[in-house]
Formats: sequence, C-alpha cells, structure tokens
Amino acid sequence: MAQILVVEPDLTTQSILLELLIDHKLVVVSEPNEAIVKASESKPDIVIIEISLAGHSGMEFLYEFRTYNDWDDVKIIIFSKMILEDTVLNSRSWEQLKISKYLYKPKTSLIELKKSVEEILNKK
Amino acid sequence: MGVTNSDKVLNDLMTILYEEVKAPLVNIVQLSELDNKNKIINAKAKKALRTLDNINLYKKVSSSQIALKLEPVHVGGTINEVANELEPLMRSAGCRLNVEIQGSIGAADTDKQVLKGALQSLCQGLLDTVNKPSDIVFTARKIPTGLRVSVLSDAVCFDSVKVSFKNANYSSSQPINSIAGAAADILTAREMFSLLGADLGKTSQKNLQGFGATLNISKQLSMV
Repeated sequence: MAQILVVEPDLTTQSILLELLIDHKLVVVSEPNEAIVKASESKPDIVIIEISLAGHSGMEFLYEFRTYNDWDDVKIIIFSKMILEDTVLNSRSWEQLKISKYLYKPKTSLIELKKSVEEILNKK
Repeated sequence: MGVTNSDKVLNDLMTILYEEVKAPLVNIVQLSELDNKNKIINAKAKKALRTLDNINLYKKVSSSQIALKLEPVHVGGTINEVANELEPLMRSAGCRLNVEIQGSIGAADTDKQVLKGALQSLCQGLLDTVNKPSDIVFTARKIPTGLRVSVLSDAVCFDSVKVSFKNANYSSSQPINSIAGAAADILTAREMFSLLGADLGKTSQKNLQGFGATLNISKQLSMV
C-alpha cells in the first residue's frame, strides 16, 4: 500500500481516483497550497496532479515541491486535461521536475493510469 | 481583411467551449470505464473527445498557432493506429472496420498528427452516415496522382451529410446551410485534409461508397 497525494480540482475525478486506487492510501486536495500542507504532514510516495488549475499554476506548485529536499524521491505523475504540447514543459523542465509520467486524460484509460502507478511503485 | 473583434471573441469562445465541454466528457469516459457496463456511452464519449481534439488541432494549425511538420509518414501504419483506436466505437455501432492497405504503399509527405486527426474524423464521420450495422472498409493504395486513402461502406446515406465538397473544377464550394450530426466529423476531415493539400471528396468502389483523399507521395523515401 502506497501513500498517494492527488491534486485535482474536479470533484468527479477525485471520487473516481479514490475508487480506482482503493488499494492505496489516498489524500485528495483541490489546491496546491493544501497539497504542500498535506505532504508536510505525511510524505507521499507519489503525487498525481492536474496541472490545469483555476487560479493557480500546477507547474509553479511542482517547482515549489521540488525545492524541498525531503521530497526529492517522491514520484510525480501529471494526469491532465491539457495536451503536453500546450504546456510549458520541455525536456529540461521535465528533468528538473523529475516527472515520471505525463498522462493526457482524454486518451488515458483508468486501467492505464492504475498500471502506471503500479509500475512506478514497483520501481521504487 | 484583418482580424475583427468579433473574430477574436469567436476564437476565444471556441477555446473556452473546447475546455468546458471536454471536462464532463472526460468524466463520462472515466465513470463508464469504472462501472464497465456502459461500453456504448464510453465509446461515444471518446468519439466526441476525438472530435473536439481534432477541431482544436485544426484551429491551431489554420490560425498558424502551430506549424505543420511535414515529413515522410507511413500511411499504412497511421491507418492501422486509427483503426485500432476506433475499433470499440465501430463495435458499439454493430459495425466492423476492415483495413485494406496495398502492399509497399510507402510514405506520404505530410504532418503525422494532422493526418491522424483527418483519418479519425473521416472514419468517425463515415460511421455517422451509415444507416445500419455494416462493414466499413479503410483503404490505402497508390494511384498515378499520389496515395489515395478512402473510407467506404455499403450502407452510407449521403443525405445525412450536409457538408459540400468542391466540384470537379475545384471552384469554390457551396455554402453550408446546416451542419448536424454526421457532418461535424466530415467537415473536420475535409478541412484537415485541406491543410495537407488534399481535397476530400465522395468516392465509390464497386458497391461501396464513401469519402477519399489523395496525399502526396514522399519523394524522400521513393528515391531510396
């Protein structure tokens, strides 16, 4: 069982992820500020984040997250409604932020998401 | 003529609409996958998402937000990719998608992402015109003027497609009076093929009818 921090503003997606990843301990937040607080309380193994966040930049959160040395080994999965090409991610920022996977919601099945989580956890 | 304020407003509205409609569709896809009972809803929601993504891609290329990336693209491989992706949709409609690719067909000089979008739209659009469960054939073959890709069926109802095509003399097309249902994907396919320098038109082979377009053969690979 892994500790997974989910940063997701959409309530329906939150409940879907809670059901999908029921074998793990999920902490679900809607905003990046809450995510920092929750990660401080209990260090996650994986962060699953929607980077298209109203009023906040998911990318800014990731840059801030990576400034904390204690969380350096936390894996990050971006599960977003934004196409990768529409983001500011390039190979440099990908490496800097240590992104494990970028999954485009409309084209990623829940099975694929679950499989990605399991693969990443098995590599740890 | 420069971009008017109303053009800009319309453009912004389209971008907003794209994001607003995408979100609930993604939820529908996820929920239907989770309960594993609503395969038809799942397939239809994915179809709608593909339509939105392809319209968005067309918008970005046609407004020069992104440039076409022309390179040799193996058309047979792209068709197979699209066919695999659309197989659940075809099945949900009681149809079977058959791929017939001529051997050694080679490559076309084109943009792979736009071509894939055009082929997805074409196939989905043809499915919308089909009035009963049937076989749909996705073909690719070399012709004197290039690489011909077509999607055909013996159950096409052209009346359901209120999209016009250029006439044989390639003069300007008739204005579109109404667009509904079947036409959205066909119109998108028409415009995406147009970005690739290909004209989408009605076509027929034996007892099958459908739509086809001719792509430019890759000169790079044909010289090898």
